[in-house]
Amino acid sequence: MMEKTTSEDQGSANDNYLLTSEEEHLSGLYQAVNVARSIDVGEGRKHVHRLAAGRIFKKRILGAISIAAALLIFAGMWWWFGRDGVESVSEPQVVSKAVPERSDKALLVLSDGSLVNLDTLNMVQLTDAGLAISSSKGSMLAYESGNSTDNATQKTNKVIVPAGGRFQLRLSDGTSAWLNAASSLEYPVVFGKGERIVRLSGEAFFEVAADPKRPFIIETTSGRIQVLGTSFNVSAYQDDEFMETTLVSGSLQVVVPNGQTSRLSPGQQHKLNQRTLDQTVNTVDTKFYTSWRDGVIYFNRVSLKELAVKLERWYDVQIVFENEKSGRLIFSGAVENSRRLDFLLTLIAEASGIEFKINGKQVIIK
Amino acid sequence: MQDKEERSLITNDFETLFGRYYKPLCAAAFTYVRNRKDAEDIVQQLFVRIWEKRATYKIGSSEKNYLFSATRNACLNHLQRVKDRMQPLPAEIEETARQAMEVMLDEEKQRILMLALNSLNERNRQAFEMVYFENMSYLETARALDVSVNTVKWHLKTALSCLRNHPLLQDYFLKK
Repeated sequence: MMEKTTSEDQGSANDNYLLTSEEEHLSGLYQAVNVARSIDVGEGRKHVHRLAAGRIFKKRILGAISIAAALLIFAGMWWWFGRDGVESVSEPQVVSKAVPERSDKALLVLSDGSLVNLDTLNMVQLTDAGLAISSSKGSMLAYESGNSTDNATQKTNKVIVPAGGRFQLRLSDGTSAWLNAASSLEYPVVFGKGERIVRLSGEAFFEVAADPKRPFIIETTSGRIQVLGTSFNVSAYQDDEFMETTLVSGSLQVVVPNGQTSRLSPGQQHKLNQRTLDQTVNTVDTKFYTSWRDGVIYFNRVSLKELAVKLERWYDVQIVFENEKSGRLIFSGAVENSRRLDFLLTLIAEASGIEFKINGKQVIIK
Repeated sequence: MQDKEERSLITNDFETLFGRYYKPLCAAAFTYVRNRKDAEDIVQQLFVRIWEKRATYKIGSSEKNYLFSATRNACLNHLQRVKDRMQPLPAEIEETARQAMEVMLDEEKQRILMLALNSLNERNRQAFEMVYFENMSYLETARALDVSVNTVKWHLKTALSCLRNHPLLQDYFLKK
């Protein structure tokens, strides 16, 4: 009650609402218990391990190799480094202030154009076109099926996830969509009798509810993806070179603007060059492309330059390379994306010998 | 001879200790600092210190008292640093903090506490939960319930007096 209460409220509380010490005790007890019950022990554990690892790190008790080992144990994180012919540089230096953190934050645009900030609301019961829309803790939104009115099929909602955010959504047909950072999804409040069409910009993982009579279609600026009932990841950021569609299960078809279609089998990835429209289909390890949904990011032989583009979206920062050579360093690894950016950068610095500096929302890599 | 219960803390024990006491100590810390994040930070720092001293840290029959005292002291230091004049006197809330920890260590006590709350009259309970659980101001609560601020205060007062006289709470939860 302390955080949000204004001084005016405090004043009036003191004036006409005095509690006996017994009442203070009970209200305090209830508050503390209520807060403690909602605390996530797992998150706390991770923090403690990270702090412990960080202190060891600072004290430089261990050498660089055992630091990596210690982090593996303490922080549940692992990291490999491939050095593609780049000479090592001097001792890493870490300067950090006001480090950006990830969060689940998103905006909902209702059919009448009004905006709802899904981040600041604890529990929303909105109704748009007579349908219940519920949100819990700002990170999930669900549309209930049933009671649909005819005009609901003509109304569209849109969820916009800014850089640094992530959001989960359940549509009225039961399809789940996980939106990654800097992405948006537009969809009808209720799907009609025909095709189920949504519009995606950015990256999302879909688990499409099976319905052979109503194909599910995802439109992006570079093409259409038609599915029946299946789970897959689409990464269609306009500023990326490629649009990637990775199929985990079921089957789907990618249609590019020139009308060519490709059918994917589970484990296959379709890659479309968004400028030249060249396309390839390869078999891939799907976990590299879908793990962000579970809070783990894998990357396999990715250059620091490519990694930087992703980090910019995840942490809502701008990354500048002072030395082009640093951008060509190649990394493979995995990281829990609940980690703070400075933790990640420190590891990269430690592994590669580069230096970085965080200035608010800007990161400079030397 | 070493006490049978006393031995150095190894990794497994540390995880067990953390799993058992993290939430209870956060509840105690929250009673002092009135802020969830600060409470968690304080308890996390405490466990980091225990982790670092794990070779010499002994667990024994008094672990609960030790952990509570360490948490209380860390909270008092924190309050001194931030100099929050709105805080009640620490001595007066020690009993509350200790009970909050005990409740979190005992599921049955949590159940009883929530049972008593749920037995309140609907409006009183709503007002109580909005103000004390949702951190809503009196004004926000008044708007949400469509009543005046004074009615909200009245609901709170009634809720608290019902709880104070609640038979379920007599045994454990009233101030000794």
